[in-house]
Amino acid sequence: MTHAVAQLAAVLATALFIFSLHWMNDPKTARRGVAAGVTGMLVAVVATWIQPEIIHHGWVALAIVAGAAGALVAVVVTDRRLAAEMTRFLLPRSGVRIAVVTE
Amino acid sequence: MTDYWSMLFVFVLATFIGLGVIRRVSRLLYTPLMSLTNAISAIAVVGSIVVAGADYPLTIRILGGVALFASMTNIVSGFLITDRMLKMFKKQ
Repeated sequence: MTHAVAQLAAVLATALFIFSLHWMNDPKTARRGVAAGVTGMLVAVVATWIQPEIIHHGWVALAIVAGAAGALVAVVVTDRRLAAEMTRFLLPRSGVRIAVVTE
Repeated sequence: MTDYWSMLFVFVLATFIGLGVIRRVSRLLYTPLMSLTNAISAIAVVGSIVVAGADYPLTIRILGGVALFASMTNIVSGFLITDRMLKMFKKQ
């Protein structure tokens, strides 16, 4: 029964990932693409976790919480100046590329 | 033997899907697309959940826990950074 759920979740997650990349093609739907990716990842992780083979739940939860906390700290600590610099670095380049193409 | 053939089948079809999905991407979105692809590639987390949580010797489970920690950082920060990039684009 849970294995059937896992198969279904795998198909669902795959479809969500494909749509995630597809929606990233257009600036209008790009945010939706990120949401689809997050949903697909959640579906896959939960479906794997509820399998009967997984017996050390505390261990899995500890590693997941530690990883998520580490990532959150890293993202929050990253300086806003860095973000501004990244924009300055990225946008002119993409502008140049578009200009070259349209010439 | 049949299993290998069906795997090859899936591989070839997935190649075409990937090509179709990526072909007409807007130039502005190259970087967020790479970032999102990196975050999605961390789906390998599923394997590390099995290694960390199933009935294996402690050494193997510790290694699985490290792998789970590493892929979890990749997932969370990957999606967060992608979203932040898109927010920055919107501001411009």
